[in-house]
Amino acid sequence: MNTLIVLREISDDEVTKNAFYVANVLKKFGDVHIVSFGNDEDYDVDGVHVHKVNFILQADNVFNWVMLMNNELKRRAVELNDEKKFDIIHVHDWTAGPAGMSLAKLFGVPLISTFHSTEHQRGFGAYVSQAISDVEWWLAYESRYILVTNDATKNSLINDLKVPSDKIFYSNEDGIKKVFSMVGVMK
Amino acid sequence: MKILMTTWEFPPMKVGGIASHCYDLSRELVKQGHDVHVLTFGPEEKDEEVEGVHVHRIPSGHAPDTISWANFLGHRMEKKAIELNKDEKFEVVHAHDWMMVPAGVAIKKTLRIPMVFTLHSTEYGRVGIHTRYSKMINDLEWYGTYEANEVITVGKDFYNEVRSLFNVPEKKIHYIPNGVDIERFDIKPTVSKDEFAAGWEKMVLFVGRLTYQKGLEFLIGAMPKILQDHPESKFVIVGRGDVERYKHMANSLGIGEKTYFTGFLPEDTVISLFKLADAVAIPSVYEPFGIVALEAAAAASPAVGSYTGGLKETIIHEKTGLHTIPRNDTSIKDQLDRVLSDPGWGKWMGRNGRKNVEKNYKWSKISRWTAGVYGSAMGLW
Repeated sequence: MNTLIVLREISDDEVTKNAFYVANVLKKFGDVHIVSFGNDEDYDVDGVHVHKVNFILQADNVFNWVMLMNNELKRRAVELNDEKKFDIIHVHDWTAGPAGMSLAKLFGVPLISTFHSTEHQRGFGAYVSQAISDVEWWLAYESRYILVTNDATKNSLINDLKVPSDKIFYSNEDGIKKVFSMVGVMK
Repeated sequence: MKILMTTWEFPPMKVGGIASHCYDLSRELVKQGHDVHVLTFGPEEKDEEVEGVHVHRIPSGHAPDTISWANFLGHRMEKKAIELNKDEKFEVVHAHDWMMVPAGVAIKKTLRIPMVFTLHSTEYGRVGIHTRYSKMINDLEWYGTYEANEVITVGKDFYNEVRSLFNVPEKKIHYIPNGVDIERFDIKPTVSKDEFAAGWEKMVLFVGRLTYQKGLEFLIGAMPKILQDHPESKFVIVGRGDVERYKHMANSLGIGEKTYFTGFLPEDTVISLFKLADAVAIPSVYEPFGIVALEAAAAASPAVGSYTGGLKETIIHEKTGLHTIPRNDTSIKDQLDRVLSDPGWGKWMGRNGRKNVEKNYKWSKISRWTAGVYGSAMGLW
């Protein structure tokens, strides 16, 4: 089972820690590649393959930036897929959502997303909040399963984005293994 | 060739020239044997066939402004392109104007096909870059020229404007004019002149959006002086926009009752008006191409238009129409006066205009050039 994980940025935040946690659980079952925004470079962290891509354009707000930057994530993933043939795409939050949704459709493989929070939780106070929330809705809709790291997010997904509760699982070792085997790719 | 075209507007949704351009180009490409799919905006998902062209309408999402709307639409168009590509295997994606840059670039990178980008105008030319919003649009336009394998500009002057504005390498930028569907203008008028002007009145027609760019205020400024020498003139103004502002302008000059603001009209009516007009005024301030000049010519009516942008080429002074100094209502008055004083000459110029579009602006020729650019993008030659 070859896994592609997409996340917006690799830093020392909780999202990155969780992404690598999932990667380390899954690397026992096959190759794990992470694609993210950063300087153009490839490197390994304990057997997890990391690929960073740069993006040349600056944007007037975060929504526009994310939507356009995701095209570079897609480009890199499509290159990697020539060799690796990913069986599953896993993305973290709406900031990697457009890439996740397009790539899952393109490769014809399942999509699993992890939501660390929703725009509703983040206050819905931005000029582009509704657009971001729409991306979250689409991402939740197109994901086979969703992992969360806290109850508040689970509740927001259910109440604000109308996600069926049986689609949502906790992002611990059991939850991760369960979800990845349920989509039928874990061997 | 298997062609995927992305345009924000496509008939029946028609705000500006891009809709006609894509409608005419796509149909002509199909006639020449190519397979064409168009992705365009629609309030709901719908697939249909229009004269052999496969048209797919795609909704967008909630967005506070046109830029984010375009980004959301780009994502949804890309997903549709991925679905279609399973069977179609597109060879090139052709994006029109900045609103389709998100869609075009996404499709280029996901499907790994070359991108051709046509610019119909620039934010810099339309309004200048004075706000963060305009800068983002400007950056998207630049980004489109950067990511595209080939760039098409629709006017000779405009070609220079884009080349220097965005530093586009010469080998990847082309000038291909807009065309006009001449046969559409061979219909018998579907309205009679007396619905718009009295039998004894001479109709001066303006067709375009009511925005500063199109220069209507300079035509209105010229009207009192024109009416002094030609009280038989009637100005028919077709288009949507800030109607109240221009009506007020005309009224405060005392010539309101010699103007008729028609608002939006169906295409057959507009074509009929082009044919019935004694002159077509095109007082544009910024006009990268100006399809209206070709429409006037196809209808065999003389065009009196600003010496700017594409109008420099599409109107041949004193042969197919007359040039006026941009933003100069005295010049507009002088040139319209010449045509109104000599209707025979006006008709002669109109006939020449018609011959000119038949020779130089037919879609059959223009779509072949465009397909040539697709081939370059695909690395065929």
